[in-house]
Amino acid sequence: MPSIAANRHGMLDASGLQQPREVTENWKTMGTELLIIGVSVLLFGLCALFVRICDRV
Amino acid sequence: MSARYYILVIVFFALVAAIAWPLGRFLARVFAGTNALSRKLGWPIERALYRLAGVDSTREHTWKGYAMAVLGFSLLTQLITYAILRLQDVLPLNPSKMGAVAPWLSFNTAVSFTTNTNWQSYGGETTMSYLSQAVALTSHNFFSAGVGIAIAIAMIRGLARHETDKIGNFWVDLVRVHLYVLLPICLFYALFLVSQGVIQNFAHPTTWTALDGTTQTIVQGPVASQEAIKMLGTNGGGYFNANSAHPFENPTPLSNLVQLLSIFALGGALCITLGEMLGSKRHGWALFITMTLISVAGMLVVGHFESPGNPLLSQTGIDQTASALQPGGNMEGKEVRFGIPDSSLFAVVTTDASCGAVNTTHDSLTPLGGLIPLLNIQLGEVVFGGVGTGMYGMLVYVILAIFLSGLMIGRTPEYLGKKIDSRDVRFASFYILVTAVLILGMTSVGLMTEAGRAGILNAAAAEIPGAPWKPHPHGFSEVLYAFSSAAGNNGSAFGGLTGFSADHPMFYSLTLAINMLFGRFLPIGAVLAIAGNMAKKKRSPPGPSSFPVDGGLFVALLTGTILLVGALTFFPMLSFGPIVEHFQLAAAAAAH
Repeated sequence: MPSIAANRHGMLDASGLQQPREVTENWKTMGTELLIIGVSVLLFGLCALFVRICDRV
Repeated sequence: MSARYYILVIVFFALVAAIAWPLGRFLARVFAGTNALSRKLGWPIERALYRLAGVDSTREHTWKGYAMAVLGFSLLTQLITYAILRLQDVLPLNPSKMGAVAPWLSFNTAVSFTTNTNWQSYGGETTMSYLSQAVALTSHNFFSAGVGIAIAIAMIRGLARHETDKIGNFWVDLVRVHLYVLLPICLFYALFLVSQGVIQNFAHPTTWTALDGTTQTIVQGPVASQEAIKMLGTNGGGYFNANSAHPFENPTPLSNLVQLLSIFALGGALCITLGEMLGSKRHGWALFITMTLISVAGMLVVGHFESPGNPLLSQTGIDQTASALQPGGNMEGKEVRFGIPDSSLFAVVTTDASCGAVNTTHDSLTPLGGLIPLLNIQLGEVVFGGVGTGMYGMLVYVILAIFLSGLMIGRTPEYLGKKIDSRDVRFASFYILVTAVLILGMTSVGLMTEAGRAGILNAAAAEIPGAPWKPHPHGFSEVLYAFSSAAGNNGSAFGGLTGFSADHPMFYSLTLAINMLFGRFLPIGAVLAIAGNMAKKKRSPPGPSSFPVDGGLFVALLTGTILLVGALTFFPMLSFGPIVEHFQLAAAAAAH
């Protein structure tokens, strides 16, 4: 369920959709993209490390 | 509480049991590969998929191999979803010309759907293209549900097998759960929803002028296909911001009842599957009864506190009694079509399971009415639970309960002929502790940082000289609920909290994502480690010293263990939030 703060329109009204607010950024920030992909791999890597540790416990 | 509420609860559980019994037996046959129809019709498709993916379906995994396959699959699908969300402005099926979803919001959403959480820091109808909804998000609804069920089956295999280190092939389990369970059920389920009025199209948004002269934009889209798996897979992420309160997602009382039933259907069925696969049907029913008892208790508490309404409103002369003209009770944040009974039931069911779909605003529940959904999540959502996750979470509690009873009476703890050793207990303890650490630790971080406090809606209560923050117990509950929901992979919210804003795009996106990922995959690692350890053991026939796992004593012991562990871990935090808020409300009412 989303935060109500994400959309203060009425239940049916989605007239804000033609002017998405902060979500209109385009594919410009390559540094951020790489950071996010790196964070994703890091978090999964930590989970994989946990599995290896469990295997040796 | 009205008589209708009691009747609704009784009918609901009767229907859940009626669905769970045949579905659970079917699941057991599907995963054993002995279901005649699926072998005949599905094997050519299965074989083609294995060849396409280069999978040897006859080679089973160790627990470690199974865990690594889960992690690899989840990481890959998460990155694909992230890419679709970031590129949606240049991809097809975007008639509203939605811009690309912002980077950290895309990350949070991709993690959220990968982990079966479906926390949404966005409004679907104002953010996502049809392609994003139908492909990026709906596919994850299937995948994450399938992964959960596969792990539950692997855990059951670990208990059922002996003297082996193999617990099944993840890819085979994943294919079978999709091919024979999720896809066929969702096909008919989606058609049923369409019959009730849920929309399913790729049309452009409709603009119309309301009676008061204002113009509204009505979003269209492939809703029914997403809605079916959203409920059956206990995902919970709505096509629309209002989720199952939206008439395009949940149009009728019948669709509401079926949506409720579908949340518990697979969780209940897995109890029966467990009994079938372990050769102890009574044990499966004992778990089903334990889950039912805890769930009913929660339903009675929420119904009790929501029915009378807000005492402060009553004192101002506002009529909150039920009548022919109004449903009565605490109707703030509730859909008038559903009223107190269906809203209360939905709030409990969606948090017993790790669903997170809502037809009422949990933020607007009374303090103790809102405590129950929060506590349900914190108990680990083992009451029917998320598909698969509820079952393996409950099995962890079973191991703990048997271990504790063994300590109390000086008996070697043994579960269905297998001795529970220190390794099992270590992993079970880790399973419980990791979620608690994530919830309590991250809530502290959220409250101590400016970025965390900036998202709180109910922040101001009283001026405290020199304090940087004016604390309010409900604001505290918003943060506690968010991190509980993330770590428990639920996805519902005390929705006043703003999870994503231009000022602080990263804080909740990242911290909630950490809770979602670690709350999903670290417990999975522990569960599979237990499964691998159990599978290696010899199985001895139950003797006079074996602890019975199918009677009233076992049900009471298991229920007590779940509640005791939850109460000891989270009661202090709950007392800072909903409990103190309840007393504040009572004091304010008494002062008037």
